[in-house]
Amino acid sequence: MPSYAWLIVWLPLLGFLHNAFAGYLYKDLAARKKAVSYIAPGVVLAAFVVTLAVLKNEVLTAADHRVIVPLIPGLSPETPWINIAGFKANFGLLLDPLSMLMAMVVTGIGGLIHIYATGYMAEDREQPRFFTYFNLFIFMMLLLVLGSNFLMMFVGWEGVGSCSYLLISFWYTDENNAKAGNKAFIVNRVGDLGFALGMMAIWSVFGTLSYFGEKGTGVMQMAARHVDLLGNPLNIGVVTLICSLLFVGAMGKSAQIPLWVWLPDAMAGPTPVSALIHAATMVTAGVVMLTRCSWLFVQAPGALQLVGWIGLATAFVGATIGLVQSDIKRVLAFSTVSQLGYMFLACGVGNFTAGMFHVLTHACFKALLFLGSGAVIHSMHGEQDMRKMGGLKKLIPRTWFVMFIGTYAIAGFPFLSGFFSKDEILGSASASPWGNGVLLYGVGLLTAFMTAFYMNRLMHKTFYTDARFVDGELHAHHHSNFDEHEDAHGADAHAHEGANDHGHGDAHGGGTVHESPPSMMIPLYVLAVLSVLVGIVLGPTKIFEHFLEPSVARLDLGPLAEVTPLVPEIVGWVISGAIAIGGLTLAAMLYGSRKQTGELTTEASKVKNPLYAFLANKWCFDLVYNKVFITIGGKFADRVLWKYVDVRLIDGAVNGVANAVGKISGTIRKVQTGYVRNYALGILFGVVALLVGLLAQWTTLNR
Amino acid sequence: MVPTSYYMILSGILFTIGVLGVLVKRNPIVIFMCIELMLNAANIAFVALGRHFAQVNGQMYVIFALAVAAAEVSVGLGIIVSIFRTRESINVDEMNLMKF
Amino acid sequence: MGNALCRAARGTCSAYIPGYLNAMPSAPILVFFILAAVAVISALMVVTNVNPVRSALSLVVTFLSVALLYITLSAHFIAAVQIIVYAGAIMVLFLFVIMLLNLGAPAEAEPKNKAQSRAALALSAVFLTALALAPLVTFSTDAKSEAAIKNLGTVSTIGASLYNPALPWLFPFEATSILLLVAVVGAIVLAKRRI
Repeated sequence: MPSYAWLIVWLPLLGFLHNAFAGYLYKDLAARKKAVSYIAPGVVLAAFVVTLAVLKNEVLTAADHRVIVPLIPGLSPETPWINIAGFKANFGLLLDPLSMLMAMVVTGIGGLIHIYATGYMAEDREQPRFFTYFNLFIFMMLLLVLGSNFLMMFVGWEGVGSCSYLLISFWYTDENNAKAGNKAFIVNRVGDLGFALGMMAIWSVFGTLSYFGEKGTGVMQMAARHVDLLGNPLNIGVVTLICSLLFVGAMGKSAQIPLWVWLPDAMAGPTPVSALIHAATMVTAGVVMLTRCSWLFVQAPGALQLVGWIGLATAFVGATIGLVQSDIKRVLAFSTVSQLGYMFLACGVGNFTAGMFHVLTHACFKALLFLGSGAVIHSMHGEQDMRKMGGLKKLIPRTWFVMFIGTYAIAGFPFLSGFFSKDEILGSASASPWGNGVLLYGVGLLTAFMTAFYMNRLMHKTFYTDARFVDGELHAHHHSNFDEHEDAHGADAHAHEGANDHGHGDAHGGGTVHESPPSMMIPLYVLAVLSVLVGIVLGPTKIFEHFLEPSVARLDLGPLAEVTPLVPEIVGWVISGAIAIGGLTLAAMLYGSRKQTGELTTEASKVKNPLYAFLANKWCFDLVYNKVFITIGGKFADRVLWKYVDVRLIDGAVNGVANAVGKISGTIRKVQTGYVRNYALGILFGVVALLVGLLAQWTTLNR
Repeated sequence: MVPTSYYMILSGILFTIGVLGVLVKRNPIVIFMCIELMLNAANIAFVALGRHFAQVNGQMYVIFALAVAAAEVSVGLGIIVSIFRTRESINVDEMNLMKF
Repeated sequence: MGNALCRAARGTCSAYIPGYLNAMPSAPILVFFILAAVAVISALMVVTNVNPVRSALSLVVTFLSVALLYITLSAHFIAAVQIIVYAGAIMVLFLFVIMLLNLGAPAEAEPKNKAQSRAALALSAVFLTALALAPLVTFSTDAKSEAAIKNLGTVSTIGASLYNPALPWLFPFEATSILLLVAVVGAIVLAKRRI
């Protein structure tokens, strides 16, 4: 039976092509936007359906739950994509629980966000361009998770990076947005270099880039047998190097210290972008990659330990910065950084399954939170500053409700999805194979407490405290690359604005707070249900663990041994639940008692507090980077690299060679007189030399 | 019977005279004549060697060499005529554009 | 007559010519030396004459003596062709061009480039030495019998070889006709002012 898995990848690509050429297909802007608003979410949801079918019919029935199918229908999965001088990479899709899980997350949650975006972007004249990038992103992300070798993952990896860049700076007429896009792109280059080097190292050790091959020829299969390409035992140092390089790549994509600085700035993009790319899917690519390479990582305890420490530090730093942010999306951005840190912490202590479980639950509730915050921003006519919000619970109760669920889910309120995944991570952290379980567990709990606190702080500032604006006189912070009059024309024909149509007249003057259109609310409801149910259905029942088992290496495959957690699972649940409730309650107490301002202290006293300044400055990461790379690095580049290395050494060498050639040939060229007889003399000289040589040879032969 | 090597040496002498003429003369027509001289020297060697091995091949080559020489002379003299026509001179010392 | 000449030469000269030449002066060898001397001297005159017309006439002498040398090699057909094509057609062409361009007697000065001439002379000397040494080094002297080579150069032998499809000469022969055609067209194109 031929596989239909290729459809998963091809559908978003077709959607991308349709949207990209929509300008040729539909002359009328309204018709174009309408077509795009159906096609773009349609192809992603169709891919989701295909994913489910493929999962049921092809993966779960296969031996080992693993099957490699062609990317291009009709060809063999072994059809080479590149085949040069011993280097071979295939066009294959690897279908196994991990890739199918990620494909479901990307197409499922991605599809919901697409639907949401049709409402969110309805007024933007460049909506087709937005969905072009969106569909392309889905295509690239699916290549990343489904590819059967590192090279295909790398293609997807770079592709999502490009889409991320394009979408962050979607409203490129604002210079800050363009700069944020550049920052994300450039910081990611550092990580991508690590990935590329890691890939080369893998090639040199294993002689292939495929994860799994026939007769155990894949990288993971060799790693599981502790052998390299030639059958020699693996060198732990080399594997540690490979894993560290791969982790550098993951750091960039998944915003880990020290390469995390781009993610908060990436919030410059439209909110669906933040939800899809910078919360639910792309930023988890690092975790997916680590899990995919778990067979390698369990062989390299050093690299694992690095992953664990970086993850813990990122989780803690992200949470502390999240405490002091006043922009609603930036709180969520730092929360994302922090949650990604959790995922890496889980991978670092060898529990890749827990990391992936958190990827899944986080995708649900963080998408919910981002989209919810997008709905809030939409309702507030583009206002993002929480200091200017408040009292929204009464005005937009449905948005409040889904945000409430999201907050409790991420905080780890008992029996919501974040509770189970976070508890699983904390449990494994306490069972750290390096004996530092107490520290990891303690910092993890502290971070969980802070998470609960800053999320409830967000809720209070936004929904519960008194309104700090006058309803009906909101100023539109409308984003668009074009003049808004033009923009409004394009949106007139939009179908998704029924009862909640806020009209366009008020977008220009004072606006009232209103609920978002159904195209935005329905995905929120679905995500809210998922945020409640995913954890309890898949977590304690061990369904998820068993599902993912074929894709993940066990820690004791390598030199490390499994350790029992510090506390039994049931006690862990109680502690986690207590911490979450504690954090939520503390925020409720502190902010509930200051209903009027929604602030703990005045702005003046905040500025004086050095700890606040330190946190608000994001632990001075940007300052230090600016100082080191821009100022000092710039001077170094200017004075040493340019004026010495480039001008003197490189240019000097090049010009020197040219000058030398010029002088030598100036001398030699006198030989070329232009007189034919001189050249004929040269010919004669050659003939004589030849003849003498032949004579000498004959003489010796005849002797 | 005259030894073949005599003819070969005669051929070498004639050939060398031809080479010398090509190298020192300045009149292109005389240079052409010297080339003909070299061709004749080669023909003598062909015929002599053909006789030496009692094969007709040597004379065959001479026939073709004659044909080529005839073609070459007609084209070469045509070139000389056209050069003379454009430059009013055929001194090879004035033809020194074959550089740079 | 040749025999008589040879005998006479032997009789008169044997007293004072060196011993190693004693065996040599049979008639054909004497004829060869005479013809060779004429050829070499006239060839030298081609090079040394300053007047191109004289050079051309000296070349005719060379061609004629070479034709006679072909006869001594029993290549009669080639000898005839040599006279017809070279001494006839080609030399007429040369003289015609010389006259046409009015190059009758240009005052050919010394070559400007003496270094070129000296180098040419030196290299030619080495070249000649090498060429002269070559047959001494490489030849075995197992010449074929007179009978085997007697009919080699007759018209019938040449014709039978040239047009025999089993031998590899037919195709080059046909190709030669194309070459000559091209040469004719080329000569016209080059010489004509305007086509």
